[in-house]
Amino acid sequence: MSLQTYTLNIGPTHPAFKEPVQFKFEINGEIVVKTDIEFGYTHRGIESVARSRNFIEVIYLLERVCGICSVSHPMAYCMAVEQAAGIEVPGRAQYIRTIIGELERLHSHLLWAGVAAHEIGFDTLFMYTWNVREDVLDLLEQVTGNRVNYAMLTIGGVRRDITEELVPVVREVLDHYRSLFNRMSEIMLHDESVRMRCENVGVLTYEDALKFCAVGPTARASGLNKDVRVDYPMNAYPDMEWLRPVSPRDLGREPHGDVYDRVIVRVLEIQQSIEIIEYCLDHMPEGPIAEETNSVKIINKLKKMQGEGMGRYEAPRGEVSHYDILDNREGPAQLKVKAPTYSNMQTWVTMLEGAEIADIPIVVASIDPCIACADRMTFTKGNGKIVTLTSADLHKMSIEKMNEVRKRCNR
Amino acid sequence: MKLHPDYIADRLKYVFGEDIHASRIVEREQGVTRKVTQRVLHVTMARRVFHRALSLLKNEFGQPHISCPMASKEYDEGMELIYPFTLFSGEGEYNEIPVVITVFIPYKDLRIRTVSDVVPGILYMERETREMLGVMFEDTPDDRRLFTPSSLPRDMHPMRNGFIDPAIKNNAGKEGIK
Repeated sequence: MSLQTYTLNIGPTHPAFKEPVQFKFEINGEIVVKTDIEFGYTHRGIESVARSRNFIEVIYLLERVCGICSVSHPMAYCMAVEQAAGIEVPGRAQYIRTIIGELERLHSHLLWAGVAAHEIGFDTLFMYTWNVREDVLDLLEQVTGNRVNYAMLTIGGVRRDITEELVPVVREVLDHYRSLFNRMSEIMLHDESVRMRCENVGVLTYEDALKFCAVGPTARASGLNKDVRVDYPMNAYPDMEWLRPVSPRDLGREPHGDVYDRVIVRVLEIQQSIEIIEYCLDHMPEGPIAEETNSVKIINKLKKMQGEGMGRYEAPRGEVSHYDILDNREGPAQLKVKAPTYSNMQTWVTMLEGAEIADIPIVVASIDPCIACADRMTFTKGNGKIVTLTSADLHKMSIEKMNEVRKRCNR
Repeated sequence: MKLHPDYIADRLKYVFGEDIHASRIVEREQGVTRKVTQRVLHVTMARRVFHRALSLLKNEFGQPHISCPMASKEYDEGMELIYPFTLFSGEGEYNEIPVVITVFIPYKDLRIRTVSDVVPGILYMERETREMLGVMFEDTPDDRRLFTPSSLPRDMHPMRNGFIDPAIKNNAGKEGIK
């Protein structure tokens, strides 16, 4: 094999990403030899902005960290403040928080399934999953008032109840998803062409997942049974003794840490989320939905306090954690935010080593990155020649590979 | 094996003695019908033993996981860096122990040894801390910026108390900027 390599830049904007990031690949022929990543194209300084807002305003600011995980960040923040201030959350509020969090997981995993299908040129599946996803978004709108940025949480509870009238509506949507689940899993897990594009591609070993502190479905697909809902008790999750981290082993497959294992984990988590929401609807206690509903009183109480709290929550993409410091101010003296992609970004380097160029989009998308879209890429060849390919070119390469795979399947 | 935070604290005190300045366990009950207790171990230690202490935790309790980028508290003489780790992750129900390690660093010598050789997943967070707070990480394999643009001078650290964006400072009083 020739040792001559050339540099391939992808990004900072690309259709596979939801925010800009720049990849620099060293390529030998069609194979990735080395990867370097540059970030910072959309750093908004939210942690700095949070220092100039009060405790309640920060909740709604943090919903904007991520439109898809828009309950996960406020959840971790509220838990950090509640831990620091010793605030108890009523049982009913803990159940409602759990339900909203799991509805978010449903729509996030369906969104990811569509993005991943598009990356491998399976647009029928992309349209199918995004069509199916509309039902859970409509449900979230009915329950919270919004499809994203739900404004459901407050410090010490939630802002809206799930009333008796809403319970049958939620159940109806869950029944609908249950009836679709077999069809979805049949397409995503048993379609031969999907398997051929995803198996043994973008492998992250157990050791590397541990070493690089991978989180969420990315970690679990590598056999690292890490799930904050089980490891670090919060909300209604401790009540569910049966809850365990999802693993490819649940499907009788030893984890390899490839893209296919990440698909398995997310598909099975759709089913698990349905079960969790049903449990919550069956066991939700009566009572208040917040310790205190008056925001001014909450701020007045918190501004007399000093302390530190760490809030952790299992977002659809993995562990979200917030570290919050209270220091006799109307808002946080210090707030550190960690989104799951921050942890998983470093795993790209090992996943992409040895991958083909046509597999880059699906490997990058397989961790469900919260980094954005792009529309150009540039080759810099060893002889100084520069070739620029559009996003359509890259997507075309992926589709060509899919067509080859399909031909082999039909043979 | 069930991991207990007080055992971890005792072990650190036994090995590093007075270099472990303080330790406390914050407990919080969770769950509605089935109560379980969240336990977080907070340890304050001297900068010179931090790398060895983390290596000890790794050797005796398994690979530490970094949960969150380092927070900081600024004082007149220096700043505290707060490292939120977790131990024993993914090995059993409610058997994960968060260990929050606090290390004081004086402003006159704002540096600490990198722990990216012990916890490779912390490298990006150290790069962020370097640019946002100005802490130098000795022996780091990668000292590049992570988030800030190259136009920002390297001696400006946006997350330090009192930082004012030069663009705002230079245009203060001009039309549209107050």
